[in-house]
Amino acid sequence: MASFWGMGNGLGEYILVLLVYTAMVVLMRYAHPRVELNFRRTYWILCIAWGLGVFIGNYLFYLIRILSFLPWLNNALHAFVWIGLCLSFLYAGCYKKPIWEQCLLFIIFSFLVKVGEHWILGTWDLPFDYRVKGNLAYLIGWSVLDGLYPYVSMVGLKWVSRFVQGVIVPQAIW
Amino acid sequence: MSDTPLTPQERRLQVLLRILALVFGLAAFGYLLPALVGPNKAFFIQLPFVTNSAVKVSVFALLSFLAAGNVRRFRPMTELVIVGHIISELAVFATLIWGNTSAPVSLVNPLTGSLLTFPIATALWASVILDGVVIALLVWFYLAAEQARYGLSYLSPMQFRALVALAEALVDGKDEQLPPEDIARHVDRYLAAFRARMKWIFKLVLTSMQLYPLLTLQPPLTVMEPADRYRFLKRRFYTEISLVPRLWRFLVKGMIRVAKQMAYLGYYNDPRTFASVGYVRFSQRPDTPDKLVQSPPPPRQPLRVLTASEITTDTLRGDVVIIGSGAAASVLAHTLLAKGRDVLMLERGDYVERSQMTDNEAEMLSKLYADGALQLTRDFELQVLQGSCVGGSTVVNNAVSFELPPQVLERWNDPQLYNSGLDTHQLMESFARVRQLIRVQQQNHPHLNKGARPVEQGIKRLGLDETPNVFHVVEANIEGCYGCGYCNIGCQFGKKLSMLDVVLPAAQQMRGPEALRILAGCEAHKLHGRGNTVTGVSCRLSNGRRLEVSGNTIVVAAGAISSSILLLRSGVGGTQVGKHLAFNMGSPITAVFNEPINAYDGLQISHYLQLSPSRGYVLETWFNPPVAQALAMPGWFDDHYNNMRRYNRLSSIGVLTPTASNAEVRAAGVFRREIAYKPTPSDLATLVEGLILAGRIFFAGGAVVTMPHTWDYYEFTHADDLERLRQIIRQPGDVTLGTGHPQGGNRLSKNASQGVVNPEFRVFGYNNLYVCDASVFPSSIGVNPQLTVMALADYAGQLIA
Repeated sequence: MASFWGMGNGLGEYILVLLVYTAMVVLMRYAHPRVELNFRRTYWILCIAWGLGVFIGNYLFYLIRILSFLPWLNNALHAFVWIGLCLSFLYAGCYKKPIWEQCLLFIIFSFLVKVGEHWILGTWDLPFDYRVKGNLAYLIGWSVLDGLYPYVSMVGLKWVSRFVQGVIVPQAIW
Repeated sequence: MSDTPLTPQERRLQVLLRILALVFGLAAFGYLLPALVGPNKAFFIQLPFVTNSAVKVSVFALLSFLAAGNVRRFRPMTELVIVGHIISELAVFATLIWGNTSAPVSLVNPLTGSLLTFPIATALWASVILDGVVIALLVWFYLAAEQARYGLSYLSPMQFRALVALAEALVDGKDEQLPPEDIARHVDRYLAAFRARMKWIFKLVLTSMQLYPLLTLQPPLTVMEPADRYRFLKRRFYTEISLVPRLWRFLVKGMIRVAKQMAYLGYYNDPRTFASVGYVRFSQRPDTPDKLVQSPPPPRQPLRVLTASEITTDTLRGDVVIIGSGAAASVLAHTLLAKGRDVLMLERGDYVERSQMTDNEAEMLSKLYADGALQLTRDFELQVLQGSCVGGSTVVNNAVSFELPPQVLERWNDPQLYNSGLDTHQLMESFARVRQLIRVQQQNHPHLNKGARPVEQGIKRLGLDETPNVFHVVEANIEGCYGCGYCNIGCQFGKKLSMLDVVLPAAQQMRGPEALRILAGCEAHKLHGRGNTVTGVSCRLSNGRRLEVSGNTIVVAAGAISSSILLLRSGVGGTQVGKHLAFNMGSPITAVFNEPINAYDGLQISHYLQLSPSRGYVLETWFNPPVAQALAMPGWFDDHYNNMRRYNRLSSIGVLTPTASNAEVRAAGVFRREIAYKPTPSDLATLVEGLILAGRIFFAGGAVVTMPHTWDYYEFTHADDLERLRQIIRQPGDVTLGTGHPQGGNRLSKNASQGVVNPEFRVFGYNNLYVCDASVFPSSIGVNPQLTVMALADYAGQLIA
């Protein structure tokens, strides 16, 4: 069960994690309260693609020792709910902004959630002492990688739009 | 009322009460007998609950017995039996939750001698079930009896009685023409007659007002003596309103406002009151037969409108689907048909043709207006009137036609401001086409608003008619007006050349009813799409069925409020949707003259005054039939009554002020449809200036008293006294505010971050979705907007086609 919940974790901890996600979405909604009708198909494509990709990717990254083990429930919530639903929601609201601004937003939100998960669940814990002491470098490193979401999404959607109608391909503004 | 025979429902209640009296009586013996005789004597004699229960059921038996004697007179006793049972239920539940109910009870069956043992909880649950059955039966029979007694269609009996009590206090005169029961019955019928999500707020208000006295440890409103009730209402809702904590003061004010509206509507809509206020219906005016002979109503142009019952499929497809059928939608349809496109129009309201229009104000308000003319902003302080029928607001407006002021267009097109990107030349051509289409003309005929005569005198005496000021008879799309004064409840004579009478029939004649299909009673709920293309719209028909409508081009033209709501509900249009809403905010001032002037007998709005340089407002002469005038009449209780008694000696001026674009439409709140607005201090100050000037004009024209529609009632008898208005009106709630001209919400702009639609009227980010109505106005235009709405629709039609 430890591999599912994580050591010492229970329902209460995961509810707290979901509350952190909710708080982030509340913040995101200030800028853009909903997914625009014309972006909805694109949104669901992003949700599924990122959710599946991150869920599998996280495990593979663990196998090659560049990511700490994420308990299965944590991995599923992080991949499908946070990255899939929440970050895609953020993307739906900011894809018209300059790409650097988008990346910065993604880095900040990812970092906050990783810190939250680290505090609550004890995950995202891999000493990675690169000039920054403790676990912080590791958290920052993965958050910066999450900051690539907008760029990867843009490229991905360009490719998907060749096969699926009604997909919006964001134009990069640098 | 008490003399009429009992209805079958009341007799049924009577029978139930008799049965209950018998059952409760037997139950009392059932508690006492085992304590006196039998094998369980030792058990029963020691329990206090036996005496309590015996007393309880005996009281219920007596109450039921008495109530059955006269279900009308002793109605409160039935209520007491119900309330008593509810208290009993609550007490048992409390015992079940917190008491020790596990102890067993052992009783000897007196017939067989065997021992029965069961936990106390079982007995308590049995009591819960029995009491529950009694409550359910009594409530059911009681409500049915009360509904049948009063012949109610919408209100509950308690709400009805609350309204009777309110009407008795609010319509306060010595020679009232109808009893308060009749007033309440009229209101019940009115409320039952229209579909509106907001309607239950009336029930809520009546229930709240009924129970409100309990907060001050006084009996409910209907139980109070009439004199006490009058004092209570006057004190708590009017004279001492400032003592109510600010947080719920607006609710208390809202309640009494709504109650007043109901009472006055119920009273002044009844023809029995007309003579007492000096009002003569058009059909009974001496010169009416001559008018009808000299200029007979034009023949009705055929118009084929589909109703919900005619739609048998779940889907419908059109080339261009237009949501709405008002000023913009109709002109747009006309233009598109001329350009060869087919049109399917979806209208939320009903199709009310000319022959169905009457001079019954309440009936017409319910048939022709959005939410039965009850649309209010979130804080109940601004009434937003909009038509909701085939033809939209053009069926109920005053048809007053102003060109778009050039300085407004300049601001709209200013790249530093709204950057609308409208082609001025093309727009002017559209104005010319529309003027021709709806035959806009100056209303130079003898049937103008008679209340305008003293206004004209006053303006001339004050020298306000001199250039560059403009004091004129209005231009309107009205031809051969009779001056019946019923513009706002639909022109039954076809003289107002509304969309219903002119543009839609002409459009349908042009290409036939297959090319222009109009579906009434069809409310658009949500747009659907795929990527940048909107594929269709989910609708609900008035008969409750769902309908999916698809089209190549979708145009939202449902008016400034509903268009924004539809876009918000559909998640379309980005973050600007619903924002920057503005109004032409209006408030009337009424004047009393010594001689009858019969202002009701003539065109409702006939003259206007525009000062130059502009002071930010327009004055328009204005008058209404009794209900609408009563709703706009200043004063409370006897003051209001006395004012209405001099109805035929009154004249009104409406002050129209363009507001800042600080209002917002939101798909939020209880109804998922909310208008948030608070006038800016500057807009309110401009309005006050307009009211002062209007009052001065009245005095110069011979008025003896002027009355602005302020919360606290004031009668001014001298022009200089009007200056006090600056102190009296400091908050929006200090004065009655209304508008028929909501504008904005989906701004037109070249800049996607500023607007919702681009200069082609296409919603940013969509290929085939357009918005075309007053909601695209970047700001309020300050004058009656219908001509501008239509001209923009014609302009947009050239682009959309």
